[in-house]
Amino acid sequence: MEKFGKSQPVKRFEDRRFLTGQGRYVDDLAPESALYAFFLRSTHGHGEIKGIYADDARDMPGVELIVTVADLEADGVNLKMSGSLVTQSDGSKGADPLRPLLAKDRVRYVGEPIAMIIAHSLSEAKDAADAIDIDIDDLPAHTALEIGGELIHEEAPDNLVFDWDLGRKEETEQALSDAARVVELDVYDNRIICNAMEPRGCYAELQDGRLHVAVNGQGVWGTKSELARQLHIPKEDIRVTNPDVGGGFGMKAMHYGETILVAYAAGKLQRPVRWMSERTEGMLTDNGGRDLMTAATLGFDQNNKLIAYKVDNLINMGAYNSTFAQNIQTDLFSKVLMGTYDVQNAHMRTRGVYTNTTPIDAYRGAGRPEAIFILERAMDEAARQLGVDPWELRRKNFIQPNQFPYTSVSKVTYDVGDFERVLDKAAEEADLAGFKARKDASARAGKYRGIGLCYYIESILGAPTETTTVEFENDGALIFVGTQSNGQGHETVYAQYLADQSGIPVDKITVVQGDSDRIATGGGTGGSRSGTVQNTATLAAVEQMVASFSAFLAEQEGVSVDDVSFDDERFRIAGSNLSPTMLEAAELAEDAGQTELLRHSATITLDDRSFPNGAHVAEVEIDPETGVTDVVRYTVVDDFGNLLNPMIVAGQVHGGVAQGLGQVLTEHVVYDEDGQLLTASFMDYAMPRADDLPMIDFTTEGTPSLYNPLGMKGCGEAGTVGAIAAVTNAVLDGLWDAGVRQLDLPYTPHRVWTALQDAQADSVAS
Amino acid sequence: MTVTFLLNGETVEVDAPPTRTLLEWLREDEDLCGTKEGCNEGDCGACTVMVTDDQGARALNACILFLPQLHGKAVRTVEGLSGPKGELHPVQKAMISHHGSQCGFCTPGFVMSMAVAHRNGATDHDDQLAGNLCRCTGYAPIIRAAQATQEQDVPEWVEDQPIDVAPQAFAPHTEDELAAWYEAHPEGTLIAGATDVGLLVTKQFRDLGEVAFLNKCAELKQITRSETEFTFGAGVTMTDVLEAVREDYPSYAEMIRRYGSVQVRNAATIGGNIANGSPIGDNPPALIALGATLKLRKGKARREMPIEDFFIDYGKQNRTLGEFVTGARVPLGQDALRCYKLSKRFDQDISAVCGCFNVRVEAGSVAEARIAFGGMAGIPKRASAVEAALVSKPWDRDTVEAAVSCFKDDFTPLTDMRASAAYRLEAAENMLRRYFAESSGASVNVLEVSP
Repeated sequence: MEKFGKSQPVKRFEDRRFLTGQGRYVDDLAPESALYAFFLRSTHGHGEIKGIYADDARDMPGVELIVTVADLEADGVNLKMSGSLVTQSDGSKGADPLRPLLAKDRVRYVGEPIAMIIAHSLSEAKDAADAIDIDIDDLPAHTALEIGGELIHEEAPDNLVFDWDLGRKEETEQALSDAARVVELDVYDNRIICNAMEPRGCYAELQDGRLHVAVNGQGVWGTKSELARQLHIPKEDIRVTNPDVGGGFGMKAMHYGETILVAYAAGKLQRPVRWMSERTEGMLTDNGGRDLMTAATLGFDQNNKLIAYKVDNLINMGAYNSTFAQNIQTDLFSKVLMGTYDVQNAHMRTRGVYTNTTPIDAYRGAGRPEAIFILERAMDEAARQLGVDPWELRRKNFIQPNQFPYTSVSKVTYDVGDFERVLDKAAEEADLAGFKARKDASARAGKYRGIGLCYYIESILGAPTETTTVEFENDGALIFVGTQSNGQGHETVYAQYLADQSGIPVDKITVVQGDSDRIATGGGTGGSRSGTVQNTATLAAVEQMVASFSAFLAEQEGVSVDDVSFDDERFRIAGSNLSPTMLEAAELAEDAGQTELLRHSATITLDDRSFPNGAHVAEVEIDPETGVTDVVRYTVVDDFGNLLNPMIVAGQVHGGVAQGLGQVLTEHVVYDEDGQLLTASFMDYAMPRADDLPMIDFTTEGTPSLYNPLGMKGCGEAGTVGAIAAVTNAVLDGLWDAGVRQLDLPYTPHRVWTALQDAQADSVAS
Repeated sequence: MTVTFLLNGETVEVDAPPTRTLLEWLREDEDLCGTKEGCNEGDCGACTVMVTDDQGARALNACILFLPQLHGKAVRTVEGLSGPKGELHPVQKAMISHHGSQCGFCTPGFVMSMAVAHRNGATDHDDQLAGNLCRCTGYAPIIRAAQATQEQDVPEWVEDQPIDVAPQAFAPHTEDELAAWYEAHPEGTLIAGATDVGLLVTKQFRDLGEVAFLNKCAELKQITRSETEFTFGAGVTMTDVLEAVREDYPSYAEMIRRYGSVQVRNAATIGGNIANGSPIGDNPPALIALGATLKLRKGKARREMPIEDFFIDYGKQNRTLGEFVTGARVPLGQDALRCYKLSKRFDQDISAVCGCFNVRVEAGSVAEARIAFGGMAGIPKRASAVEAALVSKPWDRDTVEAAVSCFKDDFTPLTDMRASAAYRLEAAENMLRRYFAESSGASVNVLEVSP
């Protein structure tokens, strides 16, 4: 039995449903009788709430309920939304100001909910919202990514949320002062809006006296805990479900007040209540991503060996601590601080700043794209300054295969890796040797051509524990999983893997996910964890099934359990013609009255995570007259260890690259100085479109992970982790000969063109 | 109001308020939830459906499509894309084999756009799908799926045909009926493609009061071509304008390719784009530069005016209550026309500046100059001072440079999200230089040019 599966590009089982319009997302499932929730939100970036006058609105047609923070307090609702806190360098915790479900006394960003209106129709709810009078005294807004400015929370003087560090500070400083060459670089990692195609939404209803909340999240158990905590409802009286989810990317993994408030309203009115975010509402309120300024310092010895590395991050938190925000550019960033390079003298510092903007939290990769972006951007810059080939500089500093297991300065132990082999393959796939000729050809056509490399490593995160339960019923099997598909193809991969391991025909397997009543615990989707942890649990469940049925069959046939074996398809019993399949064995057990054999559950905890890594090579052509950048070639060579379904893996990489490339070339969030979001529709926020994206050449060069029995390495975020620096480096390479030395993202035609004009003016001046 | 149309092959009669959108009705009344709402303003394409009328099949955004616009037509949603026995449409099969769907939310819109393109034999996939956004796949697998189906037969079950229906009172079939209705309801709202009016309903929840739908009015949808001019009815869609002008005015056609998306061009009409008086509509500058004549009618009275005279001030047009645009006469033979649309991105973006030039040169000297801009003032506007600086002068660099300095006399543009005032002014100046370069034989199309 191949524990790591058969690695077949099986077509997805969920696709027929999606392609025929049978996918069921939260707004497709809301009860017909549900009332509509609408949230009245702040239109002020920062201000004192002097009064909320909702009496007229309460009497308006169709209105069932209007809720302000005073109503929540009167009902004893726990207002405080949870947010994790980091331990600062001085040992204390990061700032922990109240983030209330509805604005209390003050509004701190445009879009912050102030009141919830429940009515029979959305129009009636909106009409009532119009009739609510809110008296707000404006305060100056602090929107710059800077410490200081107008104070947003008393708990955070100078708007400083935390000051956190990791690594060898003194050794690093010493090594930098000893270095033969020091390279310094400031880089801004631009803010994006996630824009999952399905906006956020939920509905809540009462089922047999219990609360049922359906929400398009990334797992049900965290939501269940928060509902219990904030509404003081016993957990056993709460059921949370996640139906089909139209993309999450980390944004939907976090807690949002609307879910709690809609549940509160359903309980109060004893009626189902539904809410669906509009697009602009989503842009104003979904957690943002990235938005940090990093100063990087690299020290090299006289042989161009990297001997010290220091980063200093200033990150935007938005107006409040979102669920996991304090951990993103700290703990998570640190996991891959030093990337694939053998350097122990490294140190990072991260300071968080509150601003009057929407809270920021995880976005595809969460901390790791940011860490790799600055590191790989800096390695290219260093190669320029040192006058060496950027590919060679990386090779020279790679952790070598004989150094594994390798414990990094961040106390992360990489199990395996063969970076040079992957890079060799990338050079071949990308036809690095032919680049010069392609560059010349572009030059003859008046275009600047650039090539950019990013060698990334990722650290798989999310909960290390997961459970698989298999139940036999009706000549088939149900597999209950604790992860949550947001479109990654879990239904296919889990059923395929169970079929491979158990011989149960794949069409007899039903994957059950996203229901806290049917699945007791789970870690949801996030951190590229799902495939590895879930299938490892499935493997354990199958081992348990095989052992249990072997014992049962041995007893039935009167042989020793050692005489029973399982060969992927059938149990073989020495001296017997009986050779049941797994389903047949379950039937025999049922016939024999041994119903305990119809359910098998296994929980596993991975000792450590896997470390996918690889090379992204982007090639761009820039038209100097318009500033337009075209990504003309894109090559990815990944070490994902063993692949379960190569087609799905390729899809994850493609989509990940698109999100990274979008951030570099088109996407950009703009707030004005009052905290108004200027990029609040698809007309003004430039999502990448079909003609912005290249075809991607994707191959794998795997070294199986040693940390899980499948030899897998997660693949969900890797595309984004690699793409940002690869495309950035390619553009800067293309602009280098024209004299452009430094340019902040995104590389819109206007910015590139302006940079070229400025560079030309500088060269004329000098 | 009763609206009758085919829905996935079955005749339906719907008693609907006039501004009920197809998307809302599908999802709320019919429980056909396959069609998705991703933005509710025609920007993302998740709600794309196939609509067939006597002009063929088109992809339209259901979120800004009012039910009465469908009277007599055939609508096919994602639920009706597979065959009667459940057999998948070729684009559905290809999306599965090329892994073109991940989360599945944008997928129904994509496959409907793809199915329409497939039915119509269109293979310019990036253009066909410019109005559909996807966040999961990176598009490449979807484009591969579209390419894979190019040569395959169109399944007969999607070959819908329009149906015969009784006229609707609020959807006049003739211009006379429309004129009478509008004269009687001068405060009413005329709805053609609803790409603009739709947003008043879906975003502002506005009650439009009395409305009339123009899409049944055959006279308004006519395009005629004589020896000397085109005549476009006000209800001609931008898709049809593009096809009509492709040979005579390729530069105008190329600009229209970037006007909205396929879904938007399939709905939007040339008359709507003029009549709403937007300062950033892309048709008026081109039509002004071409010397087009606008046709208006109130009751029985008709009048015509040079199109530039229609635009008086921001939000104010030369149109009396009860008067409506019936069409535009556009002269042929204006070979010097060039249209330059400047926007932040290529697809589906509002112009920062749209400049259209038509300078007729005789014996080396400028005989006539018609230059008009969008995005430079509160209305689409001629650059009269610039034109005056060109006329009767030799068509050479010195004249152009002298004329460039007159832009500031013509325009005081705004600074907003799309561009600063200074940028707009400079861009306009450079457009004239570019036009001169192009007329002198230099290649200036940024999609073709090599510096």
